[in-house]
Amino acid sequence: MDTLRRYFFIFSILLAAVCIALILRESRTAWKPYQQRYRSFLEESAGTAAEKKIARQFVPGVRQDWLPTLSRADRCRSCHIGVDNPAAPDVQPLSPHDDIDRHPPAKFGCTICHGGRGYATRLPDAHREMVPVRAMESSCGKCHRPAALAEQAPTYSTGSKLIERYNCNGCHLFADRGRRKHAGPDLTGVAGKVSRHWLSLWLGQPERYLPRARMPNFLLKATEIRLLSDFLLGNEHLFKGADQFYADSAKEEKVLAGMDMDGLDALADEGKIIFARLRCLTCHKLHGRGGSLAPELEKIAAKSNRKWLHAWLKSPSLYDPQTIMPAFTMTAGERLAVVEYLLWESEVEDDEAEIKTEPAGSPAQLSAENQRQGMKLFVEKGCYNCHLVSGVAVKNNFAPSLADFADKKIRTIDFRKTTIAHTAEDYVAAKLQAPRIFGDKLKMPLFNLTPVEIGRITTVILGQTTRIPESLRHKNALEPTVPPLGDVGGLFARYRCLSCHRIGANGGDLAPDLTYEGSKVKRQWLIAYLQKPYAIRPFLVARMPRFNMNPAEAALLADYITMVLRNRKIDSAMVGDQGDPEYGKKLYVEKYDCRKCHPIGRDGGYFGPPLDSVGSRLTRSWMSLRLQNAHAIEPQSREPVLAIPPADRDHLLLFLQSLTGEL
Amino acid sequence: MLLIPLSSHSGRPAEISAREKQNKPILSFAELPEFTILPGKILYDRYCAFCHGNTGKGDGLNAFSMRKRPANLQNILRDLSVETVEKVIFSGGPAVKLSGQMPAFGSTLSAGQLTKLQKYLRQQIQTAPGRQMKQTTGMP
Repeated sequence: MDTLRRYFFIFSILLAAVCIALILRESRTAWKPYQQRYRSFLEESAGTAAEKKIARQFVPGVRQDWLPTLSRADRCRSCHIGVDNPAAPDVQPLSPHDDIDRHPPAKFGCTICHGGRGYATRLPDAHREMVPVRAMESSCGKCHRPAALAEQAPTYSTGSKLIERYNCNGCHLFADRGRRKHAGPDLTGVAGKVSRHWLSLWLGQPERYLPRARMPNFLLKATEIRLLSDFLLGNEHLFKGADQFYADSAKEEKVLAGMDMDGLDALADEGKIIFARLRCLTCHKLHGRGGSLAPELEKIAAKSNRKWLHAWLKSPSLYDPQTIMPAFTMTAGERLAVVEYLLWESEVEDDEAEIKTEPAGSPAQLSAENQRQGMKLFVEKGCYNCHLVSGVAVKNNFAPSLADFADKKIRTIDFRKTTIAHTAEDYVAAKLQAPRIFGDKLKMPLFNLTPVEIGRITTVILGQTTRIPESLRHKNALEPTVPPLGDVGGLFARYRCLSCHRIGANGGDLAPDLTYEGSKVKRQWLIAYLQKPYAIRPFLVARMPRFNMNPAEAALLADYITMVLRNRKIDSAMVGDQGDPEYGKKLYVEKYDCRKCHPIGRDGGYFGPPLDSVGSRLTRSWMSLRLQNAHAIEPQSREPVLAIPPADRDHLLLFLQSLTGEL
Repeated sequence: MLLIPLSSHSGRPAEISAREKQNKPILSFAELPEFTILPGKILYDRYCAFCHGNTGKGDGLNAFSMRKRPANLQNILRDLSVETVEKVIFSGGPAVKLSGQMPAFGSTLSAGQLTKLQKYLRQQIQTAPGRQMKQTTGMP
């Protein structure tokens, strides 16, 4: 019995000690001093009776935001007690949070954006695995779609565009976007397009051919380059449309063969003019000028041959059905001239791009065995995630999914024996700088990224999570539209309108959104513009290519646009027709001083479009809405909300309508 | 600086070893150059830059067609209080007895947008006398 008593005594003492320890621990919590400071601040700053009452009723204790929809319980506000009080002192942890009303902590908590351990009430536990301040915008993408973040989270939005540019989602799965296939050109007929020499250089070091190449460096061995080249150059038989694609080649060669050097020079000069007229630089870059939608033409002579370029200019979609390049209406002579100009302009003086990957003197061995191995390599390296080759089976889930990257516990990431700091952001940044650093056998290629780009891409990847319930995820505002069929569909396909323009959720962002174009412009103007496009704003370089559309095509497109692409809200805008154009002119010049931005004739600023012929370009209802609130129809508009009262609006409208270009 | 041991791998192609020889240190996330873009920059570029210029010198493309040149924000912001700047942007030039060519953005910008714009103006546009403009981060 004695032993039992002794044990009882010892355990009682132990229990008492534990209780005392717990009481002591509770009385010395980390949040208590902060709450006391906050309370005394409330008491000191309280002026009115109501404020004094709030200060008196302050109850210290753990503050917890329980969020069942997010399955979180955040206790951050136990210390950060002033986040939702704009008057709180600006010292951490009491500081108020900017713009807290958009995301009240009672609804969203803190950790959904900031990361960390929401249930911890002590440092450093609470601040473990927090989202770094520089990458704060990564959390915006957890709920919001990238397209909606251009203004609110520009870093994330820019990073998101980079991910599309380098086609990260060709191999990896992302939570905020679908998979994109075939960002690169179709390679089925590449044997007729490029030389073995160029291909080896491109496969080995794409950045040597184009310093800003989108194609990453796959860090291939010389033998691998040879096998891949053998495969790509040996699959000409797979290119089924070759006969049709090269149909006119013999004829064109004959024309060229009959020319002397002077004739060729004259042809190149003519090509230069046509090249400018077609506005090729809208998408292509040459000598540092031009767009970035399409490949640079700087060194095209080192890459593609004359025969292929002719055929390509005639009908790009025969070679690559997915291409964004439109088919320009050109005569055979004009095509010859443009190609001649391009080859002349991009001639590489000496072969500085010499490569050492292929042993000198070894003949191209297109053996069946090499081709078979090349094809295997093509699949192994994941080339099919960007490039289509007919006959090569496409598999999904090539690379690890990044859709739940933010949900990963850091201890589950294998850093190997590197000295990289064990944080998610350092892992991604290191991986993008040296993709094989965490293992030799890894397949990720080296992308040609600047450190700034790496920061922005990392920001996007840190925000990939699958733990946000669907009810909180924002959907894309626009539904994908059905592309037109029939004759209009044929024109859309031929001129590739959606490479640059957007209609609904489809299309590119280079050129104006055409979703409501039919409610905006007049049919007659559109027909003329499509045939002879010009820059509507004087400070912009004219970018819409001249497709040499014939009047019937232009009329058909204009009919489609003005009939289908309409918006009821704009069409039914209230328009009065009682007014005095002369008084409207007075308002234009004096009261509203529109001329500071818009020119009429030679008078006025260069910000807005010239209004010389605005009456024949824009519909009345569109102009009327613009005068009230440009942002109601175009949220990105540079024109401020003018909010012109209806009385003045009708006068102004009549004045603007009278401007039809005949001054 | 985190220098990564990148050697002792044999049988790798010439290009990689060239890269390794450069011995380019791998930057940690904190060491990456400034890559964040302030939300106010988007607003400034959209509404202000065309007259006040990309760096705020009052030399935007539209500046030369105006009766009175737009203000050089780099210089005047120092002397203006937050409230005055807010008044000019929200109610236009005439509200503070300045040029009527400055339009009112009161119905265009929300209070939140104005705060972002002010932050951008103070951090990136306003400069101390004689000091070089801090480079704003844009797309390279």
